[in-house]
Amino acid sequence: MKNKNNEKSQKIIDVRKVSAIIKKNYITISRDKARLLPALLFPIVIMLVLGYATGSTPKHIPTAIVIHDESPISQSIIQAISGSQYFSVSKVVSTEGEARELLDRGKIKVIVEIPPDLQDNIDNNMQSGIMVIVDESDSSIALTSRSILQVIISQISSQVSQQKFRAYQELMSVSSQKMNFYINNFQCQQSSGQTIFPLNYQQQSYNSNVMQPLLDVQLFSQVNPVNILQPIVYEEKPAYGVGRQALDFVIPALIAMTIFQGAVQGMGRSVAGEKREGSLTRVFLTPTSNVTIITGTLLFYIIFETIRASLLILLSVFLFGVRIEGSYLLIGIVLVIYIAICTSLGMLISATVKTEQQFQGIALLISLPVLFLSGVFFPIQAMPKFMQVIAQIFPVTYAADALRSVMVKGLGISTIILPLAILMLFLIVILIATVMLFKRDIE
Amino acid sequence: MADNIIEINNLVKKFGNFTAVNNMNLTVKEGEILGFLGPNGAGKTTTISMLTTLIKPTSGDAKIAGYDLLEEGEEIRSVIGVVPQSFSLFPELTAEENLTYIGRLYGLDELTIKERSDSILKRVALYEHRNRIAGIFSGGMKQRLSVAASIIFNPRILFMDEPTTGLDPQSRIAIREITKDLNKHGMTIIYTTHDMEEAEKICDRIIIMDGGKVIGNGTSEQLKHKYMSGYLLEVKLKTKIHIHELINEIKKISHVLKVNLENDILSITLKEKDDMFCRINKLLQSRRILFEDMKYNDPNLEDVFISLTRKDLRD
Repeated sequence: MKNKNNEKSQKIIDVRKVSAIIKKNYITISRDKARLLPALLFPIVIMLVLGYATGSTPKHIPTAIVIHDESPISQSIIQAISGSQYFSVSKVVSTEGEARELLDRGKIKVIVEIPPDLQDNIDNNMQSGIMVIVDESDSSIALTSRSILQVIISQISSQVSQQKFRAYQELMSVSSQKMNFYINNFQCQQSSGQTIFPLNYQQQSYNSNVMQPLLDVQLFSQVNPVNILQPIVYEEKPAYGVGRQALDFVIPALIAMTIFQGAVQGMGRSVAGEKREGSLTRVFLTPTSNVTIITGTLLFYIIFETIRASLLILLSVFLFGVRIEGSYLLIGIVLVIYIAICTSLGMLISATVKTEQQFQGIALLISLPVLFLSGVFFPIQAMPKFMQVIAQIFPVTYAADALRSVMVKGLGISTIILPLAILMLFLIVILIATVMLFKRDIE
Repeated sequence: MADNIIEINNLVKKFGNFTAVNNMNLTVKEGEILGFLGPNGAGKTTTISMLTTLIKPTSGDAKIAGYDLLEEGEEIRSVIGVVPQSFSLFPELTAEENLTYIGRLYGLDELTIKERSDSILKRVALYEHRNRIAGIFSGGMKQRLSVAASIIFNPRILFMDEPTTGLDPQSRIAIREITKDLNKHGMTIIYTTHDMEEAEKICDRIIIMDGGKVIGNGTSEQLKHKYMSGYLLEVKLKTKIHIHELINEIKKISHVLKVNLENDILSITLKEKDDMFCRINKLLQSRRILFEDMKYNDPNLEDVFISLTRKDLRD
């Protein structure tokens, strides 16, 4: 005999129940101050600590060189840079645009642009600047690139300067020889009282032995000494916008990392904790489908973490003067997808464990690598190759990348389509796994 | 004859090599209060967990309110209420919020939830405390709230897994009264307990489980008669003397099975009660043997339980 009031069809996902779960989670978390406060304070503490933290010196920084001619001076600059252990010249291109594209895609971190008329300028005693563009994403890469390139350029400059000096010294000594020759000749003529050379020859000799050297000396005296002492100087153009500070580039990674920690922990409390308390059992006893439970819980934490991430961005703008370049909508899209991944991952872990302790164990196992591979503490480029490969399997890497591109570099959707697609893939896989592995069986 | 609301067929649950429930067969009639008695580890909670769809049976099947246990879990969950062994509500939510949340998960509309939660909170004497958070409730209050949450949607069957364990006497009595009251209104109740007296007081029928098996099944009276033979008449004598003749004389009376004298207690086991009380009284008076007290000491459920399980209760 079947109950009449139970004839309503069983829904896979029940919107009313989903909203009930969201409301319940809201009340739960808003009353748990001891949990809410650290969740909000954590990123601020990290940010303060990071303001002063430094990493190790990176090597083999991928670099592109823009050259417009094949002059010897250009070649010697390329040789000097690629000969240094700090840089690995991955591309020599002929326009700045090409190099910028590589920079946007993260293929290179530094652009060195040699001006087109460098050789002519040197020949004409004019000062030229070598333009350097550094990606600030990793503060230690930026710092290292700058100081090493300044040294390399000043070395080349002093070499050129020495060459020029030697050339002038030679010119002066030739001039003095010529004038001596002319004066000796002149004295000879006067003492003998006769003209040895024809008149037109005398005029020629005067021109080449007196007028020309005088002209050279005059020219030399008018040369700006700075241009001879420093024929080539280091110049820098900001990669994106102006007045960027290292922290600006850390913020996206910090947000990505904080969201990961917060979302995973939050889900642990919500699912594994409720398993321990037995309140999840109570939910399992009701006619509520797994998908409804998962959706309701995930949605709440996605909303919660989005608010937390927004607060974090606001704080970094007001407290640390971080500037947001890109579109807020795009930042929002990246954030929500990434938050969905993290909460689902937390759900996946807590769905498969039996106790909160087990959850903490697994969560720690995943959180620690994420913490250090996020690029917040150490630039990924400064790590050994295999660590860089490992970093590729964590969604945090792609999220930090996409956020950095949009927030700091102000780039559009086309540049982040790949990380975004990878993130979506992560989300789908994790969600499917969660639904499949979510067990009601309380044993 | 009422319909069977629960039919259990060859239900088995194994955890690795350990068999928690061993080939269980049982029917429960609609409207009865069925007590599940058994020592710890007897398989009571495992049985309840299977019947409430929390864990899957290893083999066997059951029909609950006409629904198949293995195939129609969601339907079963919408007709059963469960009061779990330990507190299982949301400590951060108030009493009323807990009921509202659970009510929503049962798909009730807001008006029904409000009406039912008010009346149920009054019934379990928590109405005054409805706006306090459940986490700070006493054990008894928590358990009453747990009962309240289990009946918010008016289930046909209510499973109560040791609902009074660890509670003070007032809370025990309150829970028992609520249980009886619910049953009076037609709810079928499955009640597991350690407490023999409690089982005798509220259950229509009692199942005794041990080692994953049902070893006794019947009303309290039936169990006693089936498993304990005779009645015990105890006489507390004033004088501490051994009178051999007297014992032999009593033994001659029909219906007397056994006579035993230990210190000053004379124990007489009888086949039938009849007028034995008077006859023995007369005999003792005629012999001028003084006694302080004479009374029937009926075998209680605990005797049945211990004789069946051959072990003391392990609480």
